[in-house]
Amino acid sequence: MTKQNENTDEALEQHYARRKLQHPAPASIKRQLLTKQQDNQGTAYIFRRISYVAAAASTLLLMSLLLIQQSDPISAELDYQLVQLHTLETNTETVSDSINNRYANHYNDYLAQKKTYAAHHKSKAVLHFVDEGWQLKNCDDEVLQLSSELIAALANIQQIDTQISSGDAVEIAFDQTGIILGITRSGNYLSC
Amino acid sequence: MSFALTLKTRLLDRKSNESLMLRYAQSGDRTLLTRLYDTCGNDLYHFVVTLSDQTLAKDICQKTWLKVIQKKHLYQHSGQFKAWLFTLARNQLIDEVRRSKHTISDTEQLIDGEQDIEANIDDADAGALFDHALLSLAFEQREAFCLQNEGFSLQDIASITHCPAETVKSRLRYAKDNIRKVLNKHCGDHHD
Repeated sequence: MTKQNENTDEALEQHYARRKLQHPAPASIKRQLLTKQQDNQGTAYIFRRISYVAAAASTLLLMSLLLIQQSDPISAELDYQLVQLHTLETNTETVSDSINNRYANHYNDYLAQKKTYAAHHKSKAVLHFVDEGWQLKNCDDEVLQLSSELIAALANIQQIDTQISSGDAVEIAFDQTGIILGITRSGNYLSC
Repeated sequence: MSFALTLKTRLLDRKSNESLMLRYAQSGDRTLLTRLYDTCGNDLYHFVVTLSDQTLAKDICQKTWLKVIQKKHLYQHSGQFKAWLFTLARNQLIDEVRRSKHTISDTEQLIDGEQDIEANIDDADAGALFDHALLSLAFEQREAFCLQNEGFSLQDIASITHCPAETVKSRLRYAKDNIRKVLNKHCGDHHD
């Protein structure tokens, strides 16, 4: 580039700068721009507010849903119980077995009671005094040996007839478990 | 010394258009926009008015600044703010010209009309002569010349005008030669 060209470049730049000064931007552009900016800021402020409120509301809703889900485990448990229905069927069998077992136990008790009654309650016996206490002999030749303590205990609660003597026929009262509850004198003789 | 230099650089950087724009994009602060307008408003208007007419230039500038407000979040720190602004304005201008079914050559004809008026200028008025020379340039040359005088590099101009740097270089050379020719011709005529 020649010296003349360089000078001309500078001159052109100066001309350009002078021209720019002669053509300033109208003030109305700036005025309008600032008005738009204010409007935009106002709108942005409103939108920002709305977005904050929306965010807060959605967070609240989410938390509520989580809380509801946590505080309502019944539904979950119900589901669990539904799953366990299979087990319940097994349990039903167990209950049934249990009922059967209980029934069997009661029946056994009843049989034992019946046996006790059959064996002792209604049976009569003949009383004999021996050194160790009393002996009661029934028709099946079974001998019940009564200790002195038992006799004393039954006498204390007045469950032994005081009029009985050795060789008398007596009726022995048993409870369900076969414990002697009382001995009374029988009016009839023992006939086996 | 180095601390002072860093501080000075920081302060200068804080006052740069890019920093202002970034802060504006974050805060939407009206003061920052005003400062940006004060820095670039006249440059932009002069650029657009040189490529079109006053009415269109005012309209384009308003739309461009409005875009700055609306699209502030799209601004990238990597580029110059002024280059971004001028790109927005140029695109806006091209769109506007196309929308109003003006072609660039139509715009040139519009300018050529002004040239006839300018032909009556007093040769002694160097400013008017420069106006005449500038407005007689082809659109692309005038655009490239204006952008260079606004301080943009070849690469910046190529980026703003979407054409290769070599083409820009060529346009600039032609633009300056043509202006010189007009200026020299008028000076020669005047001396004759």
